[in-house]
Amino acid sequence: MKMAKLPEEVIEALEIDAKKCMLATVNEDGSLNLVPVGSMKAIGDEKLAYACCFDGKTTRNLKEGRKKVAVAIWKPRLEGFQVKGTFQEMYDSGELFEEFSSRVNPMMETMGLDCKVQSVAVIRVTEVYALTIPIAGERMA
Amino acid sequence: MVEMPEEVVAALSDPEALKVVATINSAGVPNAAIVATVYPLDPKTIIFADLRLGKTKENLLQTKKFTVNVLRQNLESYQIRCTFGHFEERGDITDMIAERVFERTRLQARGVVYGVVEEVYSTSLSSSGTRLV
Repeated sequence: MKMAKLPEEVIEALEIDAKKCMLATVNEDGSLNLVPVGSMKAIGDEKLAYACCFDGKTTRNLKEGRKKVAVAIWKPRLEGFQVKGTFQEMYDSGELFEEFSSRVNPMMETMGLDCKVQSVAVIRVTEVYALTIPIAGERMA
Repeated sequence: MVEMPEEVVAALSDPEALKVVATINSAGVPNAAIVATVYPLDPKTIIFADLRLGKTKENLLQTKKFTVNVLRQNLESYQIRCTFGHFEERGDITDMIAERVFERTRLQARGVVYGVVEEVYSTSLSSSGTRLV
């Protein structure tokens, strides 16, 4: 399987609270599903992970075997990165699940939302690109 | 073709909102790019400037599909699925967008992408996945 390493600046961007991420997956009919994902973080330098709090289209697309994803990462105020990857695994127990649950569930409660982490999805990184003007599109890894 | 609800048009008109455009190539590989120039021309039409679209433009020509997500600072968010209409290199709308883009970025837009709105969903946390139209 093709793999790539996340550059240091992308890992740093993912650690910033004010960053925003959007995850694109592929629907059954070939159209794109694109949703904000607040909990996205790097796991080492070859994987991303995020908490699945809804059994929605994104989770269904991955579980049904359409595993190619793209993640747009916005770092305030004017930087951006795109990580392309392949869905690897969904965890509904274990260390990673507990870590995300302890971080995300209290945030959901604070926002008054009646939902909890159902699983944690892990994505293997395959390509990384800059999205910052004027170097948007340049491959970083 | 459908009409975007008022709140979606307002979100797309918000210059502080994050706007991302996802496309897909003919091999089924998605691409996601931050495109600050996404704008609702009218409730049925989305446009954005061709600055450094690269893969986005290639994919639009291959598969004719794109999806926009707009996320406001209050975390209100919408997903708009579109069919690619056409590129316009010259014209009143293109000139207007190019002028706005140049004022903000000092970059010259190569043209404007037109898309027809087909489906709209809420992707706000409180109602994620709800189809609006």
